[in-house]
Parts: sequence; structure tokens; C-alpha cells
Amino acid sequence: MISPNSSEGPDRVRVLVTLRADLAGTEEELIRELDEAGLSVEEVSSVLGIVTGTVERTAMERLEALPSIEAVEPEGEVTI
Amino acid sequence: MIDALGDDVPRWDPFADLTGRTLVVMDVDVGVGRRRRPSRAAEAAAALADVAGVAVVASDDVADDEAGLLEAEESGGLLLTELGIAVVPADPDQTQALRASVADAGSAVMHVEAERWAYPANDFLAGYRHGVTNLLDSLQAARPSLVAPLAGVQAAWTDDSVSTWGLKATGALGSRFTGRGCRVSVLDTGIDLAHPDMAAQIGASRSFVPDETVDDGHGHGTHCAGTVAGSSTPVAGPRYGVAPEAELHIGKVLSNQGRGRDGWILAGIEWAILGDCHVISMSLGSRTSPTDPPSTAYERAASRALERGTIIVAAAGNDSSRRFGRISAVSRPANSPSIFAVGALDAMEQVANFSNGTVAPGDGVDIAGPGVDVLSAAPGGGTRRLSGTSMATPHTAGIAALIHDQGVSSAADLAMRLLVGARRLPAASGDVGTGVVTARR
Repeated sequence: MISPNSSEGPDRVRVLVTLRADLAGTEEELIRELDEAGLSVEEVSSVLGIVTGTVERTAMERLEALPSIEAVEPEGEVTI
Repeated sequence: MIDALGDDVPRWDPFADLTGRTLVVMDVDVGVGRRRRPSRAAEAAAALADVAGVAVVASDDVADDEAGLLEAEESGGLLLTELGIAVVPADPDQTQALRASVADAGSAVMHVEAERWAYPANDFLAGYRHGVTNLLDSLQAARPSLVAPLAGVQAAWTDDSVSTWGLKATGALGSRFTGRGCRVSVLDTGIDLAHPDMAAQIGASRSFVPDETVDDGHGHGTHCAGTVAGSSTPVAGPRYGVAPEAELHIGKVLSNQGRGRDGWILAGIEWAILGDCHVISMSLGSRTSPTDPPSTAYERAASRALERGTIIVAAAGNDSSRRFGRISAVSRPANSPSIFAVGALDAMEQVANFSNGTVAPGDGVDIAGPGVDVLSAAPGGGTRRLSGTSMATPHTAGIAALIHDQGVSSAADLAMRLLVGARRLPAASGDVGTGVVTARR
């Protein structure tokens, strides 16, 4: 998927976006909506209802305010 | 054991969560919206009245009448027209009549069952945990001797030529079950695909780490997979595999340096669910503070997994230093309510010095397993010893596979039996949950 939002840069953070369980609409529409809110979508898990990607720190609040979104969390690092 | 208790001891009551009402699944296409056929709703209502004398109100007839809807829900019968299901206050004779009618040719009644109170979906394990903990606490008060080892008696398990101490402590060694038919996904650093003690058990493998194959360049994943499904007759040394006939689905979600991103792990969880795995074992985590809420994303993933028949067990974490009085909070994602958090024990069945514990209400260890000086597989074909809640986690996944092999297939039953089947320890439940994960003989 090609996104106009750059996935690089010091002010961008990797995020986990949990979608609302009762979401309507197609995946394409959803990605467009997220993209317009500033998210550069990397992966969409329709089974889990979770999207991963990067977003400007300043756009996180706007992203979380979308009606299709339940939560936005910074992606973390996990170890053994 | 519960059946052998005296009358003065609180009992596990399988009927405790029944509401007293009955669910009736109707074989009547009532239709929805513009397709709705009112005559079919009347037909369903008439069938219930004829068979059992039960009166129902159709839900869409009272949809705009809040009082009528509440009355139908609480005291009368309600036919949920969109679902074709009736919820009725049937007495035993009426219930029997409804059940008997299922076998009748052309019957509008397809299925009858007791209605139960439900736990919120995202509190699935918490519901069981709450019930089991309450039962054990009641037993502890009424008959302490039944739920704790005798005073002065302390287990001291050892490895020998037959098996590791962990297989003895969990009862896996004496179990007649092998994990056959159970698919266990180990999401970790990959695996030595050629390891002779478990190569035959690998049903699927995939790497989610960019530019790395599923081959284990670290060793942690091979060790964990070996504990789940190492052979009952390893090439050398004692048996260390809990469920030697379980099928392994290996997802590499941590790099050869032992690190990974949440996104890789969530992708691995999705892959395991789509592969119809019954159990996911995750010996991984990131440190949390007691005030950190569980991750919404992991809770979503775990609840979706449960809905599709998959339970997730995860390491409670190794950040504590108990000998200096410091107990750290359960790691993420094990702190999610719908994920089993596994603590670690040593061979004396003492809580391991490093094992994280319950430091905040509602966020705690669910169960414990062998996690100190654990022998298992190493890349290259041999074995080695490691310690951590990472080692306790695959013991728990392996026992879940043995329980599945008993014919327990639903995630709800598997979760309940893991918790209820644990052997009680004389330790705080915040450290060991319901006790040592234990197999049935």
C-alpha cells in the first residue's frame, strides 16, 4: 500500500491501533480514513481488528478521536 | 477431590451461574427488517405455547415500549425475532416438554438449554479466576488441610535419567495423555528445525522478523518448544517434553537477539489463530509499572483468540528480586485479563526469586510452573538448562495440550480446567495463582 504519509522521521512514532469491534465499512475505506488522519498504515489484521503503522506525535490525539478507533498505543519492544 | 468433601465444606456448584430461565432455539425463519414476516413470529410463539404452555412477546413488537420489553425480559418470555431465539421462564416440566419436542418431525424447537449469567467477553479469564480463587479461599478457611501440603513437608523434585523435575512436579510424566490432536503455537525466537527431539512434531513454521528465517539463532525458542513437545524418548538424556505428541506451530516473533516488536507478535497471534491452534505459548514480555493499564491491543487479540477457540499463556516476567523484597508487576502482555500469566517455581516449589507477582488488584499471576534450572532442547541437537518464567510458560502450554487430549476442546473448558486442575501451594495466590499447573493422570 502506498501512503502519502512518510513512515520515517524523528517525530513519528510506531503505534498499535485497535479498531472498534462493531466497525462497518470496507478495509479500503478504513485505511483511507486512517491515512487522512495521518497514519501511515503498515499492517491490517482483520482477524484481530488491529492496525499497525506510524504517525506524527502531534497527530495521535486526532487519530484516537476517530469514531472507528478504540485505542491508539505506542508500539513497544518485547524481549525474552 | 471436590466430591470427597464433607457437607460442611463449600462445594463447586456447576449450577451457580444458571439464571433459572431457558433458551429455546427456534427453527422458524422470522426474517429481519423489510424481510420480516410477522406471521412467522406468531408461528414461533404458537409453537412455544402448544408445546409447553409458554407465552412469549416478540422483541420487535415491544422494541419501542421500554416497560414492555423489560417486563418480557424479567418475568415473561421474549422471542428475539432477529435471532430466532426465545428466552422463557420455563419450569422443569415445561423445559422437559420443550426438550422432548426437539425430536419431533417438523418441530419448530431446534435446541433447548439453560440460560447462564455471562462474564464480559474481555473479562473471560478473570471470571474463572475469580470463581476458582473464591472456592479455594473458602476451602482454605473451612478445611485448610485439604488445600495445602502437610506442614513441614516440602517438595524437592530432581532430574533423573527418566525425566526432568518439571515433568514430575506437573504430573506430566505419569499422565496417559500425550497432547495428540492439539496444536500449540510457540511464538518466540524460532526453532532448530532439525532438532531430533522435536523435528517430527513441527506442523508449521513462519518468521515474522524481517530478514530472518525461522531458524533459531538465539536458542530461547528451541528451549521453549522442547518443553512443550520434546520427544518422550529423546536422543540423549531424560525426557523433557510435556506433551510429546502435540503439533508445534512455530512463529518467530523475536529476533536472534531476543527482541521483537508488538506488531510482529500480534501478527504471530493472528497466524496461530488462523492455523487453528488451540494454545499459544508466549515466553516474552515488556516491563510494566503497577499503574500501567493492560494493552488494549493485546486484550483485543486475546479475546478474539478465545472467541475462536485459542487460549494464550504468557510469561509473568523476571523483573523481581524477591530476596531483597522487591516484587515487580506482571509484564505486558501477560497482564491482559484474557491471557494466562504464568509465574515460576524452583524445584522446592518455592516462588523463584525473579518471578513477577500481583502488585495491583485485577492484574496478577494466574498459575505457576517449573521455571528454575530447566533442562530442554538447544540448537544443534543437544540440551541445556535455563531459568525464567519463560520456562514455566511452555510447561503450562504443554499441560493445556494434555488437557485438550482428554477431549476438552473449547477454550472456555480448557481455561477452566487449567485453573481448577492446578495443585494448591502454601504460597500467596498473588505469586502462584491457583497453584502448580498439573496434568491429569
